[in-house]
Amino acid sequence: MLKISKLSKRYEDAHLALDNLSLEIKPKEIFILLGANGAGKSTTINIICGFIPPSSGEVEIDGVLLSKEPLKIREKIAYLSENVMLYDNFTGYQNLKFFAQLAGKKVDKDELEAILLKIGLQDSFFHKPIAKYSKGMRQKVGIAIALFKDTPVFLLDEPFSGLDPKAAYDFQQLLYSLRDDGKTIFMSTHDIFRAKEMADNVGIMTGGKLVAYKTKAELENADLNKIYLDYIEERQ
Amino acid sequence: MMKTLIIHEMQNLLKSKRIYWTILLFLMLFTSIFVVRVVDYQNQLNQYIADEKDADEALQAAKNYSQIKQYAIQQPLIFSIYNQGHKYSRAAFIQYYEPILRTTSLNEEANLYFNKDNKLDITFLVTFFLSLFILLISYDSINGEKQSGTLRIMMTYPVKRQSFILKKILGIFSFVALAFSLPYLVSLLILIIVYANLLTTSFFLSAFFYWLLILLFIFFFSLLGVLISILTKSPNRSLVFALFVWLLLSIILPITWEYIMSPQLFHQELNNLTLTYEKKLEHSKNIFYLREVDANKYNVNEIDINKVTHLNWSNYFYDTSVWSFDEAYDQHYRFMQYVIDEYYPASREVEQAIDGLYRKQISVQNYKNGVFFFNPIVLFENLSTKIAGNSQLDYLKLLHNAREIRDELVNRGINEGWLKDYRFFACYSEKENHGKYNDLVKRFNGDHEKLWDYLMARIYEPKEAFEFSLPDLHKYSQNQLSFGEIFSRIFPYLVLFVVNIIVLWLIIWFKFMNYDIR
Repeated sequence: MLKISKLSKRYEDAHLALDNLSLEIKPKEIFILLGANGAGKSTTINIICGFIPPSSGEVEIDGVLLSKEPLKIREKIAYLSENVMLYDNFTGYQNLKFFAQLAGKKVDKDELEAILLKIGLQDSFFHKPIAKYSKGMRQKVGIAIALFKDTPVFLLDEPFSGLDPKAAYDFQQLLYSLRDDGKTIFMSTHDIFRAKEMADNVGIMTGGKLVAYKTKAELENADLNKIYLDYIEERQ
Repeated sequence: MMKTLIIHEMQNLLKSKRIYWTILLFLMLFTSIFVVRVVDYQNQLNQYIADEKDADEALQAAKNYSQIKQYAIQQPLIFSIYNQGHKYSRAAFIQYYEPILRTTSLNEEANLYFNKDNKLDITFLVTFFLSLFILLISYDSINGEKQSGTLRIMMTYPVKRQSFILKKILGIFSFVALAFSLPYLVSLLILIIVYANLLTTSFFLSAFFYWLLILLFIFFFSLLGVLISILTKSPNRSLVFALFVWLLLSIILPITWEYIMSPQLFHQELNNLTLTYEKKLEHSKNIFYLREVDANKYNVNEIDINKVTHLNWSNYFYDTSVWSFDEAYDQHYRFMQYVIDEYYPASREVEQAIDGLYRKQISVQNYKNGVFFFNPIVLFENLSTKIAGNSQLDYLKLLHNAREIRDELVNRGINEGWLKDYRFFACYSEKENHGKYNDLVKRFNGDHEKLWDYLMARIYEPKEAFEFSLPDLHKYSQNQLSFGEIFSRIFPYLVLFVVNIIVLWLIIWFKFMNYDIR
């Protein structure tokens, strides 16, 4: 379970990027955070990942506190960004192998190749340098790396970006299966339609604040697009 | 985990085309310089062997004391292939009536690739090129990963920041250290095979300490590159910054130093002293040159040839014929008296003054180390000569050894009396009878050239009247550096080096702990 308590972030230039955010995302839940650029979505993920320290507040995953055991938190999260970041000189397979080793996993060639196949990477590209991959292919390797880490929490920052419709569909199914396996999925996106389709719960952020929290039941017959735009305009 | 990180970093470097070409270029430069230096060393060695042979032959062929010339010939140091050091000169030959030490090789020939002032050697390769290569490899080590985003993904794994920065530093260090150590070890192996019989413990000690120093040098520049990468936002900026730092350390600061300190290096003073020295020689030459002898008081035709002698010590001092033995003997006696009483002490004073200047130069050099305590290039250059045994101090030692040999012989000449004795240049025999000069002229049908040759031949013939046996002479022996000697030479600067590394390390540590990895 991912628990965020009264999380705030004020940057050195006094800009309040995150204002007292509290959230609780349970296992078997896909939580989607909606918001415009600068709403605080990335700041939230950056804090959970430990890229930047919070000004106040706490993050807790399965009873482990970020402020106390930042390294242990990292064992519990898998992170996938909009632009997947990999070592260009290495092949997709080598990147996966390296990060699997970092995660302390036993590296088995067949297993690694199986997971690359599973996420839909053509096997002819397994051993080609990442520099030759398209954005979608990189994204797939990024997904494979996150999957192989096999953590209870997945932090996904615009993960569908760059995926073709087929790959996006496959990835969506994959996320469902992860959820069914008991994983906690925290995803930020601009894509309101995918949010409505996939989310168990949705949060809307503007100006660093969580201004709305909607459950799947609440969204069932509601127009999420209208709700979102209402909040954004209200804020402005 | 650490092993995985370091291996990954090294593999990452190896896969980069930029680094691949950089290392390839470095290896090519290493190979070229090494080969050329080995050829140069072989030339030096050949000259040394020829010098030794000539010196021995000249000694064995000596027919009187005046023909004894002692040499302090320094065997060229094999390690000069890696570090040429202070002076190219390696031989000093000594004339005791003309107390000059000539620091030159007897058989010296202009080297095709390197003249006396050219110091293109492996040390130059390290200070000039390797420093640049390390910076080119490491300038974007951190901000490059930040820009590409891999730093972020790495930080979502249980990898401490300390481990990440260690991975970077040790990865770059191990990579460059391997890239240098491999050709270095191969080059040592080649020397071991080719010059097996010439290698001494001192050589291996120098090679070991040199390698150790280079590893420190590589480590320092790896840290510097990583620090530059942390301090600048983008790889482009850090490239410019790295090039500026390299220019500053390797060119701008040393050249500025030379410009500012050049008057302090006493070049002019040294020149003046040398000039004084030369003038003293000229002066004594003028005083005793035998053209002052009044030849008119002799009737040439009536001269007793048996009493004609010729003083020919050195072309530099006096070289003339004297019309009677007594005259020559008297002249020689007075001259040597002057040399012993006046000239030797004066010339020793000049030598002392020159030594003093050398010592001042050495202290200015040490001062440079102090001023540039932060500059590994200056430290490494200086430490290399101390390790290799070809520093200015070592050159002074060579001079001292040579002078000791000279003084020993001069003292013998004075104590045993032959320095002022006619036998010093003995070419006179009372047993021989050549008659009057006129008789000789008639014998040679007025051919003065033949007559002259005949007279000259007499001078160099062994004479029964003087039984000359070669004295047991003290020979120059090569100075071998011991472990303790090398260590004590470099210890203070080694400490500086290590302190620099620690300081840089701490700055990196502090900066990276607060580094914004987004």
